[in-house]
Amino acid sequence: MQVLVFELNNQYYAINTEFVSEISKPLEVRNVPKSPDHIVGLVNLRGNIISLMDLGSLLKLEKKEEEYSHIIIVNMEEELIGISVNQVKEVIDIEEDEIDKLRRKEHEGAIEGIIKLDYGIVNFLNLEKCILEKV
Amino acid sequence: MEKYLTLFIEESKENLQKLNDEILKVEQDPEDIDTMNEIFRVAHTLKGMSGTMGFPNMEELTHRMENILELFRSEQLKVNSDTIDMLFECLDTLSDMVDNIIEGEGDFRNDSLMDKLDKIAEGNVEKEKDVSKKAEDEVAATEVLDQYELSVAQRAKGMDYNTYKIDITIASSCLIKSARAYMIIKRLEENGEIIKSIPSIEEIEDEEFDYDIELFYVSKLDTEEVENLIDKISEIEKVSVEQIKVKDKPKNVKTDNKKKNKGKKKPKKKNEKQVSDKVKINQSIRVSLDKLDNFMNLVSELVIHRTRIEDISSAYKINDLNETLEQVNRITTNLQDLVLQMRMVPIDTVFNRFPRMVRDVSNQLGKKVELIIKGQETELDRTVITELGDPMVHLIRNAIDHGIETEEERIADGKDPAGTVKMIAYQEGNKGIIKIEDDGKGIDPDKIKEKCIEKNIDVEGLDDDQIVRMIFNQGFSTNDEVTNISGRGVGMDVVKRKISNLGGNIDVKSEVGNGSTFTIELPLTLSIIKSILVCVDNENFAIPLEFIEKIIDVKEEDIKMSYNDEVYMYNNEAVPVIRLNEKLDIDEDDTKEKVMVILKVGQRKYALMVDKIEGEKEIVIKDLGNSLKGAGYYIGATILGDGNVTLILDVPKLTT
Repeated sequence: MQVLVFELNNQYYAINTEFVSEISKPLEVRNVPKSPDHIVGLVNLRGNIISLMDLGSLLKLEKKEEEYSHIIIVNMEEELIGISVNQVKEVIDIEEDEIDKLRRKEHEGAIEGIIKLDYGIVNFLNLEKCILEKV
Repeated sequence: MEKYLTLFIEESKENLQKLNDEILKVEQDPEDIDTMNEIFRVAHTLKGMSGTMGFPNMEELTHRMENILELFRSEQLKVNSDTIDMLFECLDTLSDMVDNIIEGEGDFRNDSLMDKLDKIAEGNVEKEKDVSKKAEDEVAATEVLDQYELSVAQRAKGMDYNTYKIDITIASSCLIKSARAYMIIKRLEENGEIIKSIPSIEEIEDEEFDYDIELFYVSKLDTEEVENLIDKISEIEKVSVEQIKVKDKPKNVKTDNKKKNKGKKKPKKKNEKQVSDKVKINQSIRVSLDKLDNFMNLVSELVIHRTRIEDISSAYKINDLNETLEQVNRITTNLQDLVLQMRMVPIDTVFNRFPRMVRDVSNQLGKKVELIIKGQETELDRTVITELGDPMVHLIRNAIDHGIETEEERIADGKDPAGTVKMIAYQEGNKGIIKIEDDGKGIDPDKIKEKCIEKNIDVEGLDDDQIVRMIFNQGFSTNDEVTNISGRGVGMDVVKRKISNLGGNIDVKSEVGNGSTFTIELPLTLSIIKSILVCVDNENFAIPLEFIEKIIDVKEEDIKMSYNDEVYMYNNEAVPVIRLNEKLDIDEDDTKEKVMVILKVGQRKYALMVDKIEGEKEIVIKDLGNSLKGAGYYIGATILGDGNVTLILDVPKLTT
C-alpha cells in the first residue's frame, strides 16, 4: 500500500494515496460564515470550488498557529476536499502488517494504527471515518 | 444490443406515457377515431420494439392489449371505465416491466392479466363471429403496416393488386447474404412493389440482419407465381408467401355525391392528409444529459474567464483588447443562451403524469374531480423539471384529498358536484410560475391555529394569511386521520424545502369555502444568473437579482422599532429588517451609511441591511459539496473575475 506522510501539529500522519487527488500550494481561503467548525472555508482550485477542512479540529487537536505549507486535495465520495498540512513529508510503500493496529479508545475510528519509521511514529488515518463520519 | 437498450427504455417510457394520455382521451370521447389510431400506432411500436429487443413477455402483453383495442375500434367492446381500467392495468404492468428491465432483471410474465385480457377478447369474438372474422383480416393488415404503408396497400387493392407478406429464410451456408437478399428484392420489384421490409432495405444492404427477411409486397401476381419467383434463386432455405387482406380505404371520393346524407359524420376522415403532416418530424438527436451538463460547465468556465480577462484588460488599460473582447463577449453570450436553451424542457414532461394520477386518486376517494392544465408548453431547466415531480404530486394529492369535498358535501354547499383542480404554468420575467388551484373547501385558519397551539408553535399576532402559511412548518398535517393518499405530517415542509433548494419559492392563498391556490416561483435557469454583490465587513456575498426589488441608501436612524422588531418604511409599508451581519454572525463596519436591499420573496418584502454594494455581476452557480450542505444560508458559491470565491445567498431561507 502506498501512503502519503505529512506533518500536522508536530505529529506525523499518513493517508492512503488512493484518496489523494493532488497536492497544492496554499490558496486564498474564503471564509464561510455559519459553517461547522471543521470547515476552514472555500478555495478556488483552478475553477473548482472546494471545501477546505481543518483536520486538527476533526481530530480534536489543540489549535496551533502555524504556517501551512500545502493543501492535500483528497477525493471523498466524488467530492474534492482540501486539507491544510504543515509539511508534506514523503510518499512511501508500506506493507499492511507494518501498521500496528491501535486498541486505544481515543480516536478509535479516525486513527487506525501507527507506523514506525526511522524519523518517528506516524499515525495512520482512516480518512473515510475521519471526514465522512467525523468520528 | 446494449447501446440500444437505453434508447429502448426511454422510448418505451415515452410510448407508455403517450398511451396513458391517449387512453384517457378515448375514455372522454370513445368516438375519436384519430386518437384510437394513434393508440394503435403507439401500441404497435411498443410491441415491435420489445420484440426486437428480446422481451417476449412484454411483447405478448402488448399484443393482447392490441386485441382489446381492436375490439374497441370495431365497436365490439364498449369503452367504459371497467375496460379502461383494464387497459391502465396493462400499462402499469408494462411500465413495471420497463422498470425491471432498467434494474437489469428483464421483463416478467403476468399470466393472470393476460388471461383476463384473453377472456374479454374471446367473449366478444364468440358473440359475433362473422364480424370478428372480418376484423381479424383487418388486423392482419393494420397490425403490420403503418398508416402510410396501409394507404399504399389500399390504393393498390383498388387497382386489383394483391398484398403479400413474404417470409424468407436465407440458407445459413450463404456467404454474401446481402447479395442474395438484393437478388430477391430486385426480382420482386420487377413484378410489383415492396412496401415494407423488416429489416429495412438499408440494413439489408449493410448486411445487418440474420437470415430472416420479412417483406410486404404489392403485386398483380398470385401467391404461387410469387413463390416461384423466389424459389428460382438459390441458397434460399425457406419461403412462405401469404396474402393479406386489406380493408378498403375510407371512401372519400364516392361520398362526394351523397354528401348531404346526414350531418352525423364529423369531417374527421382526414387520415391520409394527417399522415403526411405527421411525417414531418423535427430533426433532432438524443444527447445524454451528462454531455449536456459537461457542455454547460465548460461554457460556465468560459464565462468566468471572460470576466477575468475583462478585469485584467481594464486594470491595465489595454485598449487593443477591446474589440476582441467584445467579440468574445458576444460569442460567449450566444453560447450561453444556446446551452441554456438546450437544457430547457417543456413542463409538460411533469404535467403529463397528472391526468392519470388525478383519475386514480379521485376514483379511490370517490370524489369527482376535473383537472384543467394550462401552459404545459412553458419551458424550464431540465434540472428544475426533474426535481419538480415529487412536490407537484404532493400538492395535487393534497388538493384532491384535503381540498376537494365529497360530491354530497359539494351539492349541499351549492357547488358544482365535480371539483376542479387547475394546474397553470407561465413565464413571468425571468421566473417560471406554476399555480395549483382547487375549488374545494379551502384551508381554515382557525383549524391551523388550533393545531399550532397543540404543537406548541407560536402563532401570536399573526394574521390569517400568515397562519395559513404555517402549513409549511415542520411536522404539520391538518387532516386528523392519516390517509394513504397524502400521507403523514411530513409533506408541505418537504415541498417547501425542495422548491427552495431549486432557488424557488412557494406561497399559498386560501379562502374558506372557495379553495386554495399554491403558487410556485422558480428560476428559469439554474446555472448562470444575474446577481448583485453586497458587502458586509469586507466580505462579499451574491444575491440573485430575481429577488431584488430595490436598493436604497439608508442611515441607522431610518430603521424604526415596531414592538420588538425592526422595520423599515418602504413605500408606506413597514418592511421587516434583516441585518445580514447578525444573521451570519459577522461584524459590521462602523460607518453609519448603510444600504438597504429590498427583497421580494413571493408576495412578501424584506429589507436586508448590508454595508455596501459592489455592483452587478453575472455569476455561475457552483454547488457546495456535501461537506457544506445545509450549512448557513447559501445556495452555492461562485468564482468572481478576480479569481476569488464568493457565496451566493439563499434568499428564501434567509427570510424565514
